[in-house]
Amino acid sequence: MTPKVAVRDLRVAYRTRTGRHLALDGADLSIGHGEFVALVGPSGCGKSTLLKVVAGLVERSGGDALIDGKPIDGPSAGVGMLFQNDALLPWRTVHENIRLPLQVAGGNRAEQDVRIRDLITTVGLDGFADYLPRQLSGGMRKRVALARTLAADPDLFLMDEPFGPLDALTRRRIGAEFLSLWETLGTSVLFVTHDVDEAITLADRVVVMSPAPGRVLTEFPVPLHRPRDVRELRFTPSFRDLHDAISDALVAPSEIA
Amino acid sequence: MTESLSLRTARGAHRAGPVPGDDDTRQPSDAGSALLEQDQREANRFRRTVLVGRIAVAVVVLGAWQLASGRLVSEFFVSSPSEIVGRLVQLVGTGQLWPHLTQTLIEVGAGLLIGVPLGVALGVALGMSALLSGWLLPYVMALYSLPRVALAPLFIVWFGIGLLSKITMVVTMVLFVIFYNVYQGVRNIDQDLFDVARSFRANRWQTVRWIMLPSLVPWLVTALRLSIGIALIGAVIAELIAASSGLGYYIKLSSNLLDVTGVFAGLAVITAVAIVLDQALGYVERRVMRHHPEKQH
Repeated sequence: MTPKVAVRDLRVAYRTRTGRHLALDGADLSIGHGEFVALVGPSGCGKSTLLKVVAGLVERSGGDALIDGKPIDGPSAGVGMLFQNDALLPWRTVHENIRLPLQVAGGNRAEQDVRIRDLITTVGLDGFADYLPRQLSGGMRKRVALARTLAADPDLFLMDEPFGPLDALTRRRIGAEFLSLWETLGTSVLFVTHDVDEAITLADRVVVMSPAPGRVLTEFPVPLHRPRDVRELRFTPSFRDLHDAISDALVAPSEIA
Repeated sequence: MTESLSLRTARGAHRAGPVPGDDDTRQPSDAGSALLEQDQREANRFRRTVLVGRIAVAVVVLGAWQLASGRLVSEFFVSSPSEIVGRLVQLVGTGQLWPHLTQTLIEVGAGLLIGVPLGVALGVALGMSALLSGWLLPYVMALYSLPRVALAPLFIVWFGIGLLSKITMVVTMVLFVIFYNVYQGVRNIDQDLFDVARSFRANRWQTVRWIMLPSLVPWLVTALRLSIGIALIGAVIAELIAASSGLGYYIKLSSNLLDVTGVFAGLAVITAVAIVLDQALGYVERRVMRHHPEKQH
């Protein structure tokens, strides 16, 4: 069976003023159907670039990148992105922000409205439909962005440190909420983060990248059963062992260098 | 389950959190409201003082002009406020003013109607395409730095002394202001918003319509406000050079007849038009900005 996402020997070079900067040099990654993969690595290692290649937003300089066995050429249908910056349209209300992907797809406005109201309930924002993004807290804006991504009905989520800018408490809560939502959806996820705790809590598999130019160093399956109780999880011995192992793997290459 | 983690049930917990716009927890107190009233009184007093002073300046300047005219300086050269008001009343009363006023307003209006969309299109096109801006930007900037007033004689040769040469003049004046603001606006749009649109597979037109144009609204309103004054300048200058009607033409005609009162009357009307248009757009600006959280000052 072809994996949902397959990346082989991926190279990405950016042209800069001083020459070419190699962001990725021979990265390999595979994501199965319905699998939740977290990508961790030091900052600047190219993990966001890898995600953007899969999203079809960055062109590759070499290697292969496939979704459902087909080479990626621009943004694919059925791929939903969640950005670090929530990237909401500041002049649109919550309701109208969520409309954006539905608007692109076209179709009946009244049907869109029904779907939007549904999504607003799903992410717990009832009563805030007519608020503008600037009137919402960071956590609430993140929920709007999530609802907007859900509106496109993706079967692959690409999330680039999506909960990064939130405070620790909100971040954990939204992460847990996303996890329980995802457990009902069964979509594939590529989740970029530099937070090892977050990676283990959410993912089936944690992939560790080297410092730039990025390659995949090693990976760790997460042997924790689902559904997960996020609060209990972090106190179990297996969580701690895994956390230590991943942290060691992250630190190791920089010690050599 | 000790803690509900589902998105649906988290709603209640969320409601208990801070309600947007309700983060002011201060309670009103008598001392506070007394202070507030005092603040308000002081603010009102300041506004009154400003207004009285402003009127006083006008009275003093116009009064000095009125008194000096015919005594210190010959009325032939400086006319006088009373003469000018009399002329304005006469121009309005006899209906002589209207052809000139409407001519100028038509030139300004038509120039804006053509120049603004053209400027927006050019700004969006060059802002979006590195190749196009690479090709065209140096030439656009060269034309921009050319004193476009100097083009007026050329337009009169090309398009005659009628409406067309005036509209062309206004378009060239307005085009660059709009272009430059829109171009800067496009380059200032958050790249993430474009990535969002692309990731949803929005086509080029959808991206322009739903991401770009709304992002440009504040820039456009500012540019429009600048353009109105500039359009008026363009129209009047072209009329001064060669025309058969318009406020600029009236000023030039009066000047040729050594009728200083007429010149001042024309200037007064132009000033009034500029103030009315600027106020109208200021009103629009405030209304648009209220719905547009970007770039609020």
